[in-house]
Amino acid sequence: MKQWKRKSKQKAEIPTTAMPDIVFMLIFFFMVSSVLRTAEGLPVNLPQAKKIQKLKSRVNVTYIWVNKAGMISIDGQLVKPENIRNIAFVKQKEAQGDLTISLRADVDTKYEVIDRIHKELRKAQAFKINYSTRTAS
Amino acid sequence: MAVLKKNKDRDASIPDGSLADIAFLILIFFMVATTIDMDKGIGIILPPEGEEVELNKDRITKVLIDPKGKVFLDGEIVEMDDVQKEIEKLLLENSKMIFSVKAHESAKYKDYIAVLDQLKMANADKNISIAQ
Repeated sequence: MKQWKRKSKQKAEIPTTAMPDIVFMLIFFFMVSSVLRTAEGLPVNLPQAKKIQKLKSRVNVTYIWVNKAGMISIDGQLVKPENIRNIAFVKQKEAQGDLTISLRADVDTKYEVIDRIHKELRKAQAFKINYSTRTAS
Repeated sequence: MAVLKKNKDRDASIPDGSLADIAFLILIFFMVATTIDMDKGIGIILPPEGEEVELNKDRITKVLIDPKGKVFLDGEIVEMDDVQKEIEKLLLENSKMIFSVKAHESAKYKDYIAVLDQLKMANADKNISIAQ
């Protein structure tokens, strides 16, 4: 009986002194891993599509923004269509041939502009394109 | 003197009982504010420059898009929602059929994407060709 009594006297508590440390660690993880939005482009209304795939990573992705007026923006700067090839070529080199172009064009963009971009990208040997879309509901 | 002594006896420590609560609050804020929004869309590989492959006419289906968003499959007008079905039919006949997508200069990007989406839904991923 004596032994039993001693057991009941013991306090069953989870140690919580290290909890703030763990929480702070999590905070730092989220602070470091959260990517703040980099250079924004032009205001665009992205088209909708059903069969979409996700881009694997954010590394080696260049965004090309095209608004309905046909203005083209790369890395927050307006560019002329004929300059795309140079920019894309340099980026392709930096990415060691693994560059993905994410085209964020407005629904009302004329195909003319898109075709022009295709041609420029082919010249720059940047063949991997992703047409950015929204998920159709 | 008595007052002074009482002061000395006091334990001067910052209360840290609510430290964890505050840390949790910040943690939750960061979890909510962090957007892990991966870019999504329709992927496509452009053909290399100057590479032209002669193909048998039977193996090509021309997909044309006009400025008004009408779709023509080998000259026949097809409703946007029916494109997938027609493509599937053609693929059943010949699984190596190439779909050459060509849009008019003033065709809208929206329609172009819609056609690509239909092609993708018909599992014609590897059979899409962007005509120049």
